[in-house]
Amino acid sequence: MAFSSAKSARRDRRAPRLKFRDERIFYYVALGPTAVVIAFVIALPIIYTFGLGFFVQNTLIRTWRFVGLSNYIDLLTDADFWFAFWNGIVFTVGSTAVATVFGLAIAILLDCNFRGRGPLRALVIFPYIVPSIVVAFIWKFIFSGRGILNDFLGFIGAQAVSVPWLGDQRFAMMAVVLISAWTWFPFAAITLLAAIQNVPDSIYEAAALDGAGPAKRFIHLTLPLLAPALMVVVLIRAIWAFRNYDMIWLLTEGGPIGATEVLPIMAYKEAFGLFRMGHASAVSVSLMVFVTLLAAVHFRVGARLRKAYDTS
Amino acid sequence: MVQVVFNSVGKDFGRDAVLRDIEFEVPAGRFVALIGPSGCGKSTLLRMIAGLEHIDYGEIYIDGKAVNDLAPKDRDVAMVFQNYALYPHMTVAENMLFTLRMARRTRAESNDRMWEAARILGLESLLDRYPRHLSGGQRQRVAMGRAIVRNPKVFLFDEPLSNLDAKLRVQMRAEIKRLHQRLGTTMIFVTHDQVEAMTMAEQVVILREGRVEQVGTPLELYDRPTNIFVAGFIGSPTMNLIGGTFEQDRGRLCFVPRNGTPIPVPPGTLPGASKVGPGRECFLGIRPEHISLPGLDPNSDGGGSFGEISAEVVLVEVTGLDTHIVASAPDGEITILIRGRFDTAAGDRLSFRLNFSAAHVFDAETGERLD
Ligand SMILES: Nc1ncnc2c1ncn2[C@@H]1O[C@H](COP(=O)(O)OP(=O)(O)OP(=O)(O)O)[C@@H](O)[C@H]1O
Ligand SMILES: [Mg+2]
Repeated sequence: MAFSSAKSARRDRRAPRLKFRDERIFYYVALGPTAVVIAFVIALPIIYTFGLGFFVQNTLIRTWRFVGLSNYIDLLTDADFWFAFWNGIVFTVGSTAVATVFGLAIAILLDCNFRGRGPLRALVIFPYIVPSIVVAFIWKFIFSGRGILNDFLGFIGAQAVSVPWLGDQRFAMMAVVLISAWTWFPFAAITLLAAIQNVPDSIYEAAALDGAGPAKRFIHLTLPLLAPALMVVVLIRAIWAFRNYDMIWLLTEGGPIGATEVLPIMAYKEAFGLFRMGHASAVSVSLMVFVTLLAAVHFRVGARLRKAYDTS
Repeated sequence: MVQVVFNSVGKDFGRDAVLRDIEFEVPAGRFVALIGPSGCGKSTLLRMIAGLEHIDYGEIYIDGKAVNDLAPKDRDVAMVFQNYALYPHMTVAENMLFTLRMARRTRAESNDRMWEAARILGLESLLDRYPRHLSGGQRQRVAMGRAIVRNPKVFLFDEPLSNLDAKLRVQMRAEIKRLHQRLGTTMIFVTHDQVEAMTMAEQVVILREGRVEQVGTPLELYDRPTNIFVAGFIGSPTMNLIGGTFEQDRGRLCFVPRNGTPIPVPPGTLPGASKVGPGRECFLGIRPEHISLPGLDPNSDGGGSFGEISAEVVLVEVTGLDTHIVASAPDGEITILIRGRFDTAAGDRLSFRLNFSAAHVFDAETGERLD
């Protein structure tokens, strides 16, 4: 009696374990092929890039020479690198701030009840869905020396202006920031609109009865309640902007005189203009480190905010 | 003194008239329930008092002042929302302090008031919690705390108990009533639950499709409903309505149910019956507790105000306290409520006594009570 019950207890304990093992095998089998593909298309290039940074390589005659950290030392003592890094910060902060503030304003506007809200909402998406090559073409046209912007400025100032905005060292970065923000504010607007609509109207009504006017409601309710969404928008945008390549390349190719040269463009030029693969990969790796740091902040802050502002 | 006055108030949403010609007064300090079926405009009316909906027609006066053009914050009313509408990113204490901060009260005064409210509502131990860490009943209390720290002229409640479970609802019902007795502030309470209205309110306003059907104390509505709608809405189980006509039969007034045999009306009862012309369709309204069984009712023998009806039992429900019998009468079914226990089963044929002195006559066409 005692024996048989002990035996059955042991079997009971073993049974679910076996099952668990089966499940694990199933997971490995199911995920295996994907993991192999990911290893080839993502991990290998990254490792290859890392490795490249320790060599001086000549792509024409295919020779590799190990140089240790000297590519990195070259880079960290190179004023151009730090200038490109700084440009990246300016571009990131500028376009993120403009896109987020503008996106928030549009989101609040779209949350109001008015005629034509539906069509406007559809229209707001437009900059986001236009391919960047088209965006670049449109804005190059607007910002050119004899473009629409200058025509307009001349019209209201009654005096001819002919600054080629994208070609002027003083204004190029500002123009690139604005154009990039233009392509991205719809994402901010739509994301924030969803967050705004997630807040029950009755909370705002309660605040109105509690004596808070529109400005106070914005400061004490809208902003704190949108904080998690704002954080997500800002960080996703920042990560994207810091490693952005295509928009700047299409608009200015990093010029004039490096005024808009950022790290991805520098990497590209090192690799395919100067054929200094070692330098290029060192730039890429440092870029990756910065972006990874940003992503880490994103996940940490995001998780904490989600916890703190859980509205359910 | 009168606190809130509605002067032919109306409201349209687009083309639909949602409220029409609302006229009643709420005396200061009174506990008033607004009651009616879903969609009748209760919330809309409450929100018009609060200033959350525009007043399309007429005027609402609070404390003698027309508030049509006043912003919500200038009306000195506080509202407890159905979903509580607590500020999710603020603690319980901050939720209650918010309105005082907006009013630029001193910190000391704000804290005093907040603690006072917390004490009244038993929230002292929860002040540092966030709303998401509170139970439904606790959120409900915080919402009330947020209202009472302001010491407003009028409290508005929009179905505050509907999200609570049955037991908590009964408990909060008593708590709100005690709060009213303690503060003595005017309260307007929206509900679609007639039991809530009956048990809590001193005055009940019953709405249907945007119109006021009747205003009165709970017992006035119960005992003297102005029409069939009010009669059917108030009371559970609902009042029996037996369709039929009044006819003279050999010199005696009789109620003739549809497809039924005449029941003589005892003289001196049903004053409305004499106003109904012979043959005119009407309803005899009689509450389940005013129908009894001959042997059971102690004072049924001597009095001459009863009519008899024989019917077959269809269903018996026992609550433990009393027994509900559903029986098939000539015109549909009737419900009989018997205090205590009574042993019967479906299929039994019983003779019931209708207490005509507590019955009503309603005109079938207009639905109005006749008397
Ligand atoms: N913002 C609005 N736009 C259009 N119609 C509305 C609006 N708010 C309410 N209504 C309509 O007004 C009528 C009354 O609504 P209200 O919310 O006041 O009803 P209620 O009596 O509170 O119902 P319930 O018991 O379901 O809460 C309903 O027919 C509703 O459809
Ligand atoms: Mg409602």
